[in-house]
Amino acid sequence: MTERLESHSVSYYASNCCLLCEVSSRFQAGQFSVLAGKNGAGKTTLLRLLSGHWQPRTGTILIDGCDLRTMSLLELAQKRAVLPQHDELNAIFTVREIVDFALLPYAGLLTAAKIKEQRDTVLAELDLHPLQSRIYTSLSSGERQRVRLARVIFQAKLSCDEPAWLILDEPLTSLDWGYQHKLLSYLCRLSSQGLGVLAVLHDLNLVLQYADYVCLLRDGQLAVAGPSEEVLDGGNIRDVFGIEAELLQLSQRQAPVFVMYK
Amino acid sequence: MQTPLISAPALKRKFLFSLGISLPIIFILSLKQGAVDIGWQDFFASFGFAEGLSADATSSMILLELRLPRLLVVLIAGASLAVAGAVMQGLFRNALADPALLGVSSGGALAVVIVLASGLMPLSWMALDVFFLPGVAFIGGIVTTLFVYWVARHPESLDNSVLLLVGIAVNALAAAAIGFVTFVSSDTELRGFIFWMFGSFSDVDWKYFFPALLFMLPALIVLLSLARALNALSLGDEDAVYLGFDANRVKKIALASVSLCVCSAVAIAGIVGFVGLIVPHLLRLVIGADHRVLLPATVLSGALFLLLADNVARLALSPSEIPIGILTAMVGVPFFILLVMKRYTKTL
Repeated sequence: MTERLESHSVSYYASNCCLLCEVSSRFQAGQFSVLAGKNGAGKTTLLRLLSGHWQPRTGTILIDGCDLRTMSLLELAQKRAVLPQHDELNAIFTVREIVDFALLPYAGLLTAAKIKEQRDTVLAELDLHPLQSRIYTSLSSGERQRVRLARVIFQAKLSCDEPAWLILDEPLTSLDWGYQHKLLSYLCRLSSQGLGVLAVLHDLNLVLQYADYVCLLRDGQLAVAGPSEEVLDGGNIRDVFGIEAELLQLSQRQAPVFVMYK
Repeated sequence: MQTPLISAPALKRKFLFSLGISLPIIFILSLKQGAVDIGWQDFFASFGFAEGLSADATSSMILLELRLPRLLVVLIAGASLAVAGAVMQGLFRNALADPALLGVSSGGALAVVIVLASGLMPLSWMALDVFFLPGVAFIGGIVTTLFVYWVARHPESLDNSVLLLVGIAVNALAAAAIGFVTFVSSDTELRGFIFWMFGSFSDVDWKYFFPALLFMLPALIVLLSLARALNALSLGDEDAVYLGFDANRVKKIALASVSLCVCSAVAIAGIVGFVGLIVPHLLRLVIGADHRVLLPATVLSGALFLLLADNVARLALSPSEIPIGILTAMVGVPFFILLVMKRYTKTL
């Protein structure tokens, strides 16, 4: 099986300060994987390396066994979609136009029927049908985040490659509780359909509930990685985040939750 | 921020179509009008469309040797200046970005004023002397743009704000240098320069048409081909990369084509300001920011705008001419301010 997104001892420096040192990580397609760690631990740096935006100083990144350096930006865009933390959009575009930016890498490759089907499902999942003709910049920040998510999920779902990858940097930003859960369960469904999903998340209770695999970073190095219920325990939380927390099993049907102590 | 007036794709196509229809109509009417009005009979006869009729020799000469080349150059210059503006604004994600930020106009102006003041102007280089001042302006603009780019460049990414900062600084330096040279130059030299600064198409004939076409048309086509990439870039440089576009490469190609377009326009007509700012901005309010529609609409509207401005320049005080650069600013700016007040601040 090579349906993996992997980094082999990658390092990245910014003006001789090591942001990421010898990190080897491996994420499986068909799983919902999460990258977590303190602020400044190197999560976004690792995501940018894994998505091919930045080149590592040393080490290699493989997507489904293929070295990123051998792939063109267009091939990559047809293979994986990435949500950065922010966008810089200030032009007058409608929600529908923004979502359709997902079609840019696929010019002439797709049938109108497939485009419409996928767009409609994504818009429905994120309740965006009523907002379609609104101007993006006039929306609230939570609504904008849903539009950005719809665009990248749409881009990944259009991919003809098996599997496609979805790489999300803090996808829950600005979302209310309802949409946080709605998005995470959608991501779980997408990953069980074979998509590779990798997200940076901060709320470890949500990670416990939804994620299959978690990778904790500390000071630019890999602290621990594995199935989320094995990795997330009081000891690792103390090591990585420097806080005291205890796992409570509230009901047999639910994942346990962390309670933090003052 | 409000919704554009037209958002349905079918209506956008109709809008483009009506622009495309009105441009040739106004072009033909403009050919007819001027210090000497040409009757329809002479008009058609000059182009060989009226069988059995011969055109009046003077009318025919005015039409074919003066107005036709001039107005064709006005069309292509208007289209180039407007599209250059639209592309700059898309690239910088800023509605205020203007090709002048690259130092194209100020660099061209500095080169021209230095040459005029130093008396280097050759009296006659056979037939080539008509290209001397345009050549100087063109080279001045290109060199300044290359300097701005050279200072702002970075091995990994070309930062928009750095490019803007350097552009503004270099513009200020050029303005100071122009000020110094005009300060030390004589009145006659000054007058020639001031006339050049305001911009005019009055000397344009077939000699300029082919060089204009040679430089501006390929650059214009390249800029039009960037529409999809500019859409991606409007999300941000990082998003554009994830959508499969090499943001730095797109920027380099766009900046090179923009400076080629604007340098050529400045070389032929002097400084014709504001076209690159007002035309794309108006169009964004009407049809939105999708560059696949915006750029073709900008080509047509820019050509139309400058054609109308040139008509006013030729006709308002006929037979003498108003410098077109003054007109585009004096008519364009109040209209623009009115529009901004109506659309954004609702103080009207």
